[in-house]
Amino acid sequence: MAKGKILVVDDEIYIVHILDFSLGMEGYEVLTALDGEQALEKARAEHPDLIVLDIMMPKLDGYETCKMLKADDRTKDIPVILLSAKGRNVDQKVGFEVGADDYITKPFSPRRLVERINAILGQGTSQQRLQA
Amino acid sequence: MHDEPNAPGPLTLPGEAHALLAEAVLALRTTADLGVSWGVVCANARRALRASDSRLLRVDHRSGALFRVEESGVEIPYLAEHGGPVEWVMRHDQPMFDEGAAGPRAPRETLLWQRTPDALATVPLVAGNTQYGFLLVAFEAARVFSAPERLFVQTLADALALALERSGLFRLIKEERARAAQLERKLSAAQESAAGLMAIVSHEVRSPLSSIKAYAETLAGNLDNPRAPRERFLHIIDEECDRLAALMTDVHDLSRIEGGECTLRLAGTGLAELGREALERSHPEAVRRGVEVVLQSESDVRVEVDHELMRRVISNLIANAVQFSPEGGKVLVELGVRADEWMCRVTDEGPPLPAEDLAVVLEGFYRARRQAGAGSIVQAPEGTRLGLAISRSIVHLHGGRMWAELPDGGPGTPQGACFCFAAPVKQVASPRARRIARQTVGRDDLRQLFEGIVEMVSASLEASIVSLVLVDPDRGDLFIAASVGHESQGVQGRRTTLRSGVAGAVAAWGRPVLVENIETDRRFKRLNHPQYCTKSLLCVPLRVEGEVIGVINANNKANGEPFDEDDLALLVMLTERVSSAIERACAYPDSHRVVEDVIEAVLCMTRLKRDLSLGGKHLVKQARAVARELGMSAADVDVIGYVASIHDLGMVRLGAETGHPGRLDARQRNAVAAHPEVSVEILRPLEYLGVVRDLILSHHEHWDGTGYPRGLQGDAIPLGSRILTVCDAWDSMTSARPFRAPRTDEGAVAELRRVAGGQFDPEVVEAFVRVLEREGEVRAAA
Repeated sequence: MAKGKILVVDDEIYIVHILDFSLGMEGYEVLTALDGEQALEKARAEHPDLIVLDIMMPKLDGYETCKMLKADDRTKDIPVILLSAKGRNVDQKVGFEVGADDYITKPFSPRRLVERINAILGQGTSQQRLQA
Repeated sequence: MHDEPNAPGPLTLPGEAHALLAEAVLALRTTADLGVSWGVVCANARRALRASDSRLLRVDHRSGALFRVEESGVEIPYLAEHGGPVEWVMRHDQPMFDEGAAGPRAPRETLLWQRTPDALATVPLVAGNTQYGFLLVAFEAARVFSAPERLFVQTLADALALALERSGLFRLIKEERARAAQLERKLSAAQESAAGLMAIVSHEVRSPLSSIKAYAETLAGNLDNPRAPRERFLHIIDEECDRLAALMTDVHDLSRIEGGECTLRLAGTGLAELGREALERSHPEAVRRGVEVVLQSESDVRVEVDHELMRRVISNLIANAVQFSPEGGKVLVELGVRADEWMCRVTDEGPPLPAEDLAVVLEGFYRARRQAGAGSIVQAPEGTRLGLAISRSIVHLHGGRMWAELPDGGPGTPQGACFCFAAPVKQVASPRARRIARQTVGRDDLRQLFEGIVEMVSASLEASIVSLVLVDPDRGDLFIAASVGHESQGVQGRRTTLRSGVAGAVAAWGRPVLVENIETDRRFKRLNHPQYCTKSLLCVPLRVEGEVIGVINANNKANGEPFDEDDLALLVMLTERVSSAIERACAYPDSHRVVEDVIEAVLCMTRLKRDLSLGGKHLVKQARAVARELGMSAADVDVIGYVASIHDLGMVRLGAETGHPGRLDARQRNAVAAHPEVSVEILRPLEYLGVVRDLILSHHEHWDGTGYPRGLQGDAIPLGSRILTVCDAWDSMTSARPFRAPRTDEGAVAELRRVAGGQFDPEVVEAFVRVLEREGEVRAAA
């Protein structure tokens, strides 16, 4: 039984792969998209529990995608974690302005990302659950 | 007559003189512009001393030349009279008060005054250890200079010297500031591009770095996890490291190419071969992505390129196209020749390139807005985004250009993109010419020489615009290294596309060109740039060590007439001098002395030419016509024309003493007799042909052996010199001189015939008369 459904959006295919693996190992069901338009489609159709969204993407970038997700009643409640190579304060500010719930800069630690996701979704790690 | 202190006269100056002096000194102190203060100084000095006139001569320390400063501040070159007061004061560095005791014929810089003065004060303008110039105060009658008057002149001179020193420093500061501002602009442009590159690079570095970190960490946390594809993780880490390394190589290459450190190794290469090799290089990736790459090579033309770099450009474009292609897509590579250029066009079937991005697609690295090919979900990102920027730099280095366009086809189906570039088939400059150009272009002292050269050509040809165009050692195209007459049009440094202008064509052909009227000239009509308002022009290739390293252009004669064959011949001769001057300068890369000598010789010719309009155009024409009449070869005719244009340079040292040698006193005669040697002396640094030297040395020898300086007789005198002697005499007889009115043509012919066999070669005289008669006919017919 999956802990939840997570949509991973990035145009860097290796990043999508590693997140797919890490989150899968953690017991999440993982959906993937390679650009903003695909992400919107999948978010509306599959209604994931959380979205990991890269900022620098072709077609529709992460900011725009986030804005549209938050403007849509069907998707506005889904938590979004922005993921980007940009690490300056101004980018974080823009990130929160468009309604993102968290922000992680590349290069990032997949383990930390999983911890954040767990925290947002109110889940313990697999280890914690085993102990409980 | 020199500085005698105890001369009688009033012991003090009237009060008015003090006020005038104070006013003059104040004017000098408060304005940096001599054009303003010199007028006041001049007027006040005249009033206070009841002088008839005064003059200011400025020494230009770069060239050592003297300039007469007009009351308006305008400067006119001046040559000190031989044995005159300025020369004396210059040498002794002390004032000379010529009270008129030596009589009205004493040397008093005759050319400076309307009427030669009877008394003259000449004072050096000295500040520190430097002579900045001379103050001359002239008087209509002989007079005695009192001690206060001498002090008055000296005080004015001191104030003037300080003002000149200050204006020199001002000019220096201005020049330095301009140079600093230019450097600053260059620096900020460099910083901007470096910052741009850094931003791109740091962004680009993060992607592979993110992957490496994510996979390494995940691998570490899953060492014992049988479900983790550990080998695949390691493989990806390895691949991403390669991507980082490739990125670093590209950054290094780009900065080297953009920074001008990259030298092209040009060689003839078959176009089809180039395409095949580039294709082979990108083949594995295309196969991996299931993209078909098709090469269409129009014909196998040989092009002059750096094989390695150009192959890289084409394979970069192919890689870029492959990357954006959908699986099963096709990439078309077309190579062909259009006029003087060869072209490469790479078309893909990837996602459409937004029309608004066409212009910016090649700036920095562009990729984000183009969607990666469909179905690429299982494929890795490939190559780096610096590829296009590097390709563009390489194409520029070849004198070409690069652009992006939409593929042909219906407007309703925008699909794919084309990346194209074009470069000249043949580079104007051979690798050897570039190497020579590299030796010359960067040198500061040579830049001064180039400026001197265009001045000299402009003065010699009376051309209103002259430019020296040189091969760029890196790019192989042409740029304007020095020019006069069109600074206002801002052409300095302007580049001429290969073979596309008159200069480019001449450099490529290696032959001089005369265009009488560009609007009707079939060859160049379409090449004229409306901005330059060129009508008539000359363009001569400049060869150094046998290689064309540039051209000298002369546009439009000052008098509005078109250039003719004689002008072209003169420019060819001058250009040969310039070539040997550059060769000479290059032979001694460390000796500034040699370069300075050459520059001085060139400047000297310019000054003399300007000041005394020597070797009038008419004389050159006649000398050439007579040489032709006597059946001399075309090459000899050219040499004689050239000598006619410069042979009397030595005369200028004689100041106002020019006249007919036979009627001068012994001292004057000696001075005149020395002048052919002086001419040769002035031009010596240009090291021209022995035959020219010989012609100049002998043009005052007489047929009967009574001439100077060597007393040659008959056929021992070079024929060219015999021609020059006759043309000179004619010129001298038919033009006004200080001591006599000009003769009529008939009278002059009679005189020539009278002394034929004595001073002149009778055959030359008859040939000259035939030329004159023909000129007469031409005139009558016109």
